[in-house]
This record gives sequence, C-alpha cells and structure tokens, in this order.
Amino acid sequence: MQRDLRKRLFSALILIVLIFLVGTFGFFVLLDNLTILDSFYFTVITLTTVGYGDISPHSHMPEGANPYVIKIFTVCLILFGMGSVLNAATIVGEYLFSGEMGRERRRKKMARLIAAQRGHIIICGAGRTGIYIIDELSKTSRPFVIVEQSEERIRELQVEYKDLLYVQGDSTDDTNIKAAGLEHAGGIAAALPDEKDNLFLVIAMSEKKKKEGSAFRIVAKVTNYDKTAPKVRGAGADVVISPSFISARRMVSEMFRPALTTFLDRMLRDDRAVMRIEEVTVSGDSSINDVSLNTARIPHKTGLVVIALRRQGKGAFIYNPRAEERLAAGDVLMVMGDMRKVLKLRELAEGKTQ
Amino acid sequence: MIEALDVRDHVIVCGINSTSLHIIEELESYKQKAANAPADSSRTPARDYVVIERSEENAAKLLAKIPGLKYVVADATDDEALEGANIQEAYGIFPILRSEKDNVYITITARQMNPKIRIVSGTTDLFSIGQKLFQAGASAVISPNFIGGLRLVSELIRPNVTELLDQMLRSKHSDLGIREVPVSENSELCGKTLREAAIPDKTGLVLIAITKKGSSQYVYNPGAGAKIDEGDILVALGGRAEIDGLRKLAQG
Repeated sequence: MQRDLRKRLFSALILIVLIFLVGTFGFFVLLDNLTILDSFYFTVITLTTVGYGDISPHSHMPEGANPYVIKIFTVCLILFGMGSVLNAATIVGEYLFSGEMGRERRRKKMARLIAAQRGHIIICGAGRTGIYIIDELSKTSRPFVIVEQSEERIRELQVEYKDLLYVQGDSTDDTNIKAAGLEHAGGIAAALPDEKDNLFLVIAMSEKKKKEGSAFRIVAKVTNYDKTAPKVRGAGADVVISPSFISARRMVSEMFRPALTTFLDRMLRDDRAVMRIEEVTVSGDSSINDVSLNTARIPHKTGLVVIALRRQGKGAFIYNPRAEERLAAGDVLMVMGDMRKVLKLRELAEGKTQ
Repeated sequence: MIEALDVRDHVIVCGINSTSLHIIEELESYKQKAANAPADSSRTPARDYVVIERSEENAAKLLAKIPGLKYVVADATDDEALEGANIQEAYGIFPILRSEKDNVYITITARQMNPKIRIVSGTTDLFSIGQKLFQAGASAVISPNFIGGLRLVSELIRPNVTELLDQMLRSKHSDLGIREVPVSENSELCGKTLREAAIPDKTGLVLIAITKKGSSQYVYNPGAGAKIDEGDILVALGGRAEIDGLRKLAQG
C-alpha cells in the first residue's frame, strides 16, 4: 500500500511539473507583455479553476496574433491539465491525511533504531513459544528485534513492550532478517510454528555461522525431536529444542522428584526482584581483567558472589573459586542474584565502569 | 466392564501422542536401568506404567515396539478406562490428551477416584486452562511453550549456566548440588559474622544464600557482615564432601 501511494504521488507530481512548464512556456511565448512569473501565475490560476481574470488571453493578446492558436492552446491546456492538477491535489491530500506520512516516519525511525543495535538477538516468530523468549530477554535487559508476520500480534506486543523493535514480515524471507539487523546480531532464535520453516531459517544462517562461529548463536524449535533435530543441528544450529520432549522430561521429574528443583524454582519465582543465575564474560578492557578474584572485589562492587568460573567458556566449571584465581579476558563468571546487580557486573566486566 | 490390570503403585499415561511417547520412552529407560542395576537404590525406582489409548491400531503399533506393554484400549475420559488401569492403586497419572478440556475432566475424575494420586498435566495456556487444572486437583501443570521458550532463550544467552545446571540436575556422576544446611545452637558459627566464620577457608564453599530463622525468604549473596544465628539455614553449592564439612561446622 505504502509503495503504491508513493509511486502515484511521484508520477502525479512529475506530471504537474510538466504541465506547468508547458503552460508557463506556452503563455510566455504566445501572450504579450508577460514575464515568466506572470506566465506561471496565470497557468496555475487557470488550471486550478480559480480564474481571477486579472490576466486573460484577451487582455494580453499581442497585436496581429492569431487568436485561434492562443485559444486552442488554452483549451487543450485546461482539458489536459486540470484533471492532472486536481488528481495531484487529491493524492497529496491522501498522503498527508491518511497517516501515511506518520507511518513512513515511524518506519524510518524503526530502521534507524535497528541499525544501531549491536549483539542483539533476533527472534523469528512471536507466537506461543516466541513470547516467552521476548519476555525473558526483556526481563534481563537484553536487546532484541522480532520478525513477525502478523500485524495484529505486533500491535498486541507493543502494548506490553514499549519501544519494541520489530520487522513485520515472513521470517523465511532473507530481506526481513537483514532488516532486523542480522549483520550485527549476536544470535537468532528460530521459533516459527512450522519446524520446516525453522530448518529453512537455520540453513539461511549458515554463511554467517561459518564466518562468526560461536560469536553468533543459533537456537531452533522443532516438533518432532527424533526426526528433525539432527537435520537442524546439522544445518548449523547450536541447540535444538522440542517443547514436547522437554516438557515430557519435566513432567516425569515432577511426577517422581517434585522436591528436586525447589531452591532454583523459589529463586526464579521470587517476587521481590528478577532473580537469575547469570553469566558474564570478562573483556580485555575490563578493570577486572588480569587480576585475582580477590583484587577484583566483585562482591564489594556489585553485591554478587561468583559461584563458578569457567576458563574461556570451555572445559570444567570451577565452583566456589578461590580468592587467588586470576581472571583472564574470555573467562566466564557465573553469579546468582538480582538482575540489577548482574547488569552492574556486566558493565564492570565489559570495561564500561570501574 | 473392563477388568482392572494387575499393577500397583504405577503411573497411568493417557493417550499416545508426541508428549506421551517421550514420557513412555523415559519410563521405559528407568525400567531398563533398574533391570540392569537393581542394587542402585539412589536412582528413581522403576515403576510400572499403563497406557490408555482410544485407538486399537495405535496401541498395537506401540505394543510392537514395546513388548510387554501394559495398556487399556478405551477413551481415557471414561471412568471405566481409569478403572481398567487400576487407578485406585496408582501412584500417579498423566492426563495429557490433545484436548485440554478432556485433561481437566480426567483430572477431576482421577482426583475423585483416588484422592492421594499424583496428577501431572500439561497445557499451552497456563493462565486459563492451567488454573482450571489446578482447581480440578492437578499436582503440577507444565506448559511446553513456556519451558521450551525459556530453554531456548537460556541456551542463547546463558549457555554456560545452562550446562552448569544440567550437570547438577541430570548428570549421573555429579554429586554436585545446591544444599541447605540448618545451624544448630551448639554450632561454633552462632553469633559470628560471615567474615568471622571464614566458611570458604574452612570448607571451600561460598554461601550463596541464607534464610533467617522464621523467615520464608532467602537473602542472596549475603555480605561479609551478615550474622549467622541459631536456626538460620545456610545455602551453598558444592559436592557431598564439602557440604558434609559445612554440616559439621553448622551442627557443632
């Protein structure tokens, strides 16, 4: 709709310019004692059917001119030009008042905001599973862009998530993923309802995955775990989840070992704040890089205790790390606590604060 | 009148669908493990299970894969079907048919026929149907989309934590866990601040939370100045040996 209106507006304006040029030039040449400005003025007054009468072919008839030429020119100009001018007026009106200008402005703004994102997550499909992904990313203050086909769904989400970044369209269309800022994204979640579409999407990401490796994470949802998960993993997904598989496991756990997850469940459900077990990677510019855990004074600066450390994000977990452990860039710190404190630690670990 | 199967303390699986098949897989694997290592009592004891399935054909297909399968060919919403599965002596039931209204119905019936039975169901709509399931008497209600979505996002943004928790909760070799240790009155820790108690030095553990006596809420990441009193519960992450060390400290 929006492209169509713009094209019509563009062609209508071009036409008017042409007609005004023809009119201006024509009257300038044919009539006596008119400046270019007068000729243009007369053209507009005539074609918009205003017709003040201050200038007319009669009042500016040159001596010895053929009145028929002038009159026929004027008639043709009016018949052909009036329709075009009125048409253009209508289209401009439509453009101004249909809200299209507003929509255009919002689209450009959205594109700008998305282009400024770095390391964000792209969520493909804001359906029954996608909404939980959106909710968690929002709770843990991580940037994301959604790609969703249903305009209605997007409206619903905008009510709950102010400043929602989105692309409205089909996720299996590469242009929409690109528009979601694929170039600078840190990860993508293929949560479309049809697992074949998710497979397709993962395959579309294979080039980027090859280039960036573990710096770009791909997770995907499938319905038939045994049949489809190997395909999706083979296509490059880091993790494949089947909700029916995972919920079946959980149901069995709930049936026989209901007390097992008590502490963690209570922590996650704590209504005083958003509590999580989170991880933060030490960056090269951080003040806690290349110092001992003791010197880093993380509990003092963030209120968090490091419960585990993983060197370079690989290998064994070092639980209850000792004070003398030396931190290196790339090491992953695991903490448990209030999300606000975790954000403080993230800034510290990324070198944004001291 | 269907004759009740000769099983006891078993679980009943309603319907053959993608979720129930995964459950059956897991139940079968427990039975295998128990058969291979009967002396290992720390594992979940293997239980018998009975499948209630409406379609004779689907039941037959499953029987072909699992010889010795105990099943009842009937509609699980029928009281008779539940009786045939000997619900009165069952330990638990999974109402997980595709129709969520049917699951609510089965839950009500099951609760009436066996007040002590454990009922675990699922729904895509935790707020509306989930509520009804709990009201109907369900012990636990799982939302596949919620759990699946949460898992997807955790793998995306917290892969190391996810692996850590997996190791703790599911690994066969792991004696690692989050344990809660109460402080008794004759413990040397009573009245000391965390700094004075020097728990990391003495046990190699760092406390991740404390519950004060009488409170139901955890205090996470307790500071060095936090005081330990009799009746408090200390929470730490560690292996059995380290936790035992903490227990000795906490219980005098």
